[in-house]
Amino acid sequence: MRSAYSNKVVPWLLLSPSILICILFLYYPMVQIAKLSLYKVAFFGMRMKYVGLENFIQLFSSPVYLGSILTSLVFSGAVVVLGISISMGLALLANQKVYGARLSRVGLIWPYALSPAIAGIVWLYLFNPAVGVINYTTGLLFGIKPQWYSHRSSALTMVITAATWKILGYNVIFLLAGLQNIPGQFLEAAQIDGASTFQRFWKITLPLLSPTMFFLLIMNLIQSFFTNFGLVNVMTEGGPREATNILIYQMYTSGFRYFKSGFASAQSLILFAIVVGLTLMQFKLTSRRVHYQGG
Amino acid sequence: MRRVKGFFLRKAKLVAALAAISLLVPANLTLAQKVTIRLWHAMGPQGPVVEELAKAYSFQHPEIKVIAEFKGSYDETFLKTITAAKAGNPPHVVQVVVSSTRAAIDSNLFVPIEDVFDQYGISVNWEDFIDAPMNMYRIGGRLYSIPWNSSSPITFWNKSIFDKAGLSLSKKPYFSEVTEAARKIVGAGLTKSGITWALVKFFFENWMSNMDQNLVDAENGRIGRPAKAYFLSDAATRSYGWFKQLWDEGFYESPGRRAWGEAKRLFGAQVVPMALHSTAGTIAYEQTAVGKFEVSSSYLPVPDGTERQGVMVGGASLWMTKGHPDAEMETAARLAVWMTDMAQTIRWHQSTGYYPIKRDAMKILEREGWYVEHPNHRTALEQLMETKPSRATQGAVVGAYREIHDIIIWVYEAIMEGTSVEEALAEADKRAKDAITEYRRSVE
Amino acid sequence: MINKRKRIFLIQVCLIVCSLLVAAPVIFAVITSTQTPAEVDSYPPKVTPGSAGLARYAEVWRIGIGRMMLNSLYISAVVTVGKIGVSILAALALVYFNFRFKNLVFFFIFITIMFPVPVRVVPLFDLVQKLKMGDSYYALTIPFLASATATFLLRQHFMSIPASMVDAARVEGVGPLKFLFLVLIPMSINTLGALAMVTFIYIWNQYLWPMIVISSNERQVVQLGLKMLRPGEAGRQDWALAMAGVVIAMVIPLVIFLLLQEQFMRGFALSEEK
Repeated sequence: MRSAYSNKVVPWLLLSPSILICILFLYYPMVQIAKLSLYKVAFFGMRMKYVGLENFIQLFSSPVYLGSILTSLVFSGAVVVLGISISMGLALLANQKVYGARLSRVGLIWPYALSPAIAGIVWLYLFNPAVGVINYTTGLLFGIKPQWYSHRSSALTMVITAATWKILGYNVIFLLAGLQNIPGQFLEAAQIDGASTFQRFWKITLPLLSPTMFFLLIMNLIQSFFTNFGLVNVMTEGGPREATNILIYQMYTSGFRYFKSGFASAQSLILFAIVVGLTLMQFKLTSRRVHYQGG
Repeated sequence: MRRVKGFFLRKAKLVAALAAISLLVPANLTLAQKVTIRLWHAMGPQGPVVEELAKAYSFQHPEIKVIAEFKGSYDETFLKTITAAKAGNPPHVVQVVVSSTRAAIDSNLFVPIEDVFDQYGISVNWEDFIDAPMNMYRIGGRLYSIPWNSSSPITFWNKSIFDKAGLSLSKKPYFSEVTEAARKIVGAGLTKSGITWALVKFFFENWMSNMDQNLVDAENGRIGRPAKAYFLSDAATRSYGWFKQLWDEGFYESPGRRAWGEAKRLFGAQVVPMALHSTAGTIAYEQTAVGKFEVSSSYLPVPDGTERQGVMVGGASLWMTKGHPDAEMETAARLAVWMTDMAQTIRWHQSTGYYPIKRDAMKILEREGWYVEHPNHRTALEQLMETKPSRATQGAVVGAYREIHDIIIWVYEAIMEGTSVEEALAEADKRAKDAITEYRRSVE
Repeated sequence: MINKRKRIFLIQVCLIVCSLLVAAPVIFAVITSTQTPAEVDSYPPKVTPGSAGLARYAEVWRIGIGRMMLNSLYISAVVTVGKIGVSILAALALVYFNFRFKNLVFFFIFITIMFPVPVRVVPLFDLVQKLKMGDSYYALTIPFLASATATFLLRQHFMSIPASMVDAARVEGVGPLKFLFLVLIPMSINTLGALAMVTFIYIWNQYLWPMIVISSNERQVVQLGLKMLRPGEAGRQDWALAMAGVVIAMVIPLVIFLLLQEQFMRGFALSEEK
């Protein structure tokens, strides 16, 4: 018998702060988003007009918005692929049973504590065409010094680099844990059977790590869709020419630079749909890792 | 919460200062009687001057305390004002950039300043003010705000380097002259590039006005709400065409969007011998060159063969928000007037480069021979005085100005990445139409 | 067949190099923060500590970034304690009590995991103004006090506590709060430590929400301070200053991380030792 207490009032008391805050600051805003997305709003509600689904129709026929979707996909895709592969390498390295591996584990993970804004401004500095170290290096090695800030592709590269760097620590934490959970016997047995390092990795390690990798895939996607607002705002402000205009940035521009709350709400709703999609995927993929009795 | 030693030290200094001040304040005035007026502004480099003005006013009027706060860019200041108004606590006086005029009116946050003056019997002789800014802020017959920091674009050039090249920039240059100068100076290896300017709407607007081209229809938004912007005009094509030429030949050094500070740095570091900037940067530019080179200035360059129509008024004005008690409204109104009084106007002009708003200010300074030592301050003023009044030079009134600003920057960036001027402007025209339509959808 | 010793050595070298590479950007930042503008501009870039020493830090503090750091510290601490407190009570109720709608309530709280802050930002802004909480510490803290993740994790953790302990408590007639403090909390140190670290860093790193809801510099958080220091903003040109700001913005979360990272590993069942 799990429940220790039979009091029927106390639990509600204990739950009241959570419930209240959820209703007020979580559910109510969601309802508002649904409502506002059907209106044209100006200056934060000083003017409002009902327009039905017009906002959505406009969004999906707007080249800028569609471009933003594409940018988000490219950005997130790159960060996820690069982030997980590089972290995999780092995690494999840190998993080796050598002296000092524990220490370097911390050494590889600590950027997790840094904020996107910090990552953004540090890399902005490194990429500065005039005084940054990267251009100095490329100048020495290849004789070129790209104007990183002014071109679409280079600006996007800048942003992807910073975001990938920032997420390495997070990924390594989970990959390392996943690696440590792989029973040593499997790998030993395979080694005895003559499997090469690469075969062992490909056929044993990777499949056993796939739950962790899916988990990271989803979490990285969510992070690059949402958390990296600060990074983009500090580095490129969505530019040049919408090159780094990810969805969350477009929403911010609509809502808080052009003061179009209705439009921004519609975009929020679309972002919400994305979150729901990703979260449901994550639960389906990792449900077997969650041991809890339904209760 | 951890307290840092600095906190204590500052607190101690504050207490000591308060004690000292309290000795100066007449004994019969208590703190409770002080009226606090908050002024929000977007003056970055010129911020300290605003602070001084606020302190001076507070000092002259012991029963009033003026708190001047720097809130970031014009956009940020506007956004924060909306936020504060919704929270029921807006600042009394806000500096709103000229292009946000329509939006400010539509936002319902402000009282037309002329109404405030009338209500409290504050008389201002509007004749004393220079025409151009007054024309800008008077819409539908009512003056919405009091002009304060008005500016126009001018060209700063590095006289020392020009001398070395055996050149000089004429007072009212044409595009080709600037391009030629860039070519010769860069060719002689004296600087890395030719010219720079921050990627903002400012210069484009003034090229349009100089060629007597309205930015938007409905007579530049003055007889009704506009429906489109004139990106496909000849003026726009020639302005951006010149930009493209400079860029293609490697004479334009890009500081980045809205990067006024970076443009100044490039000029000061002598990466470029010329920079387009606002007259508001005069002091800053002169300071950055101190000990290194001599700074001269000329009018904004215009396309060859253009008869200069003149510049439109840039900068910002002071607006008053609704919803304060009478005593505060009246005090704030008087503060606004004081800030444009002759003494303050002259001081503001001298410390920054923004125009003196009052006609006579220029005459006074001339008599004193001040302009002999500060010729750069004079350049923009003369350019302004020579402006012919027209819808174009009056300036556009359009609600979707933020969007249009972004579009103007977008065209620059497109051209820098190789898009043709025609293509870029066609896209700009489309976007502007969409933005204006969208804005009207939500306020009509 | 590579000599085993050589292999170990190679791996160690790789580890060191990788750690350095990962840390390199921040190392650059710190070094730059001690340089004068001339040294920052110098070519080739100066990679040794400069001669400005700690002058930039004094300046950054003076400008107000120090105040912002204290703001961040304040709200991060408040939310960490508050959120964990609120969620512990919720988990306590959900696991050790039996009442109608129990599962519904859990579901109700848990679903909010799909309502991240950026999605809610537009109406949240409006709501906060209506509640007269605009531009205040309340706006930065209260909306964060309920948490799907924290409640979920604590609930899960509680459920893994052996039934024998629960029965023993019941037999002895221990009340719920006593049970909480004497049994549950001591047995949840890892989970709590992990949650504390994650929450602290999460709040510290908030950017979009403070940007929108805070209009006065005295209450702004340190992340936004970084934006203000960026060269190109309002006449700023000093990279050393910006880097000094970076260091100020990163010290505290880093310390928290280093202190609690062991807990974090254990709490999320991520390390070998249990």
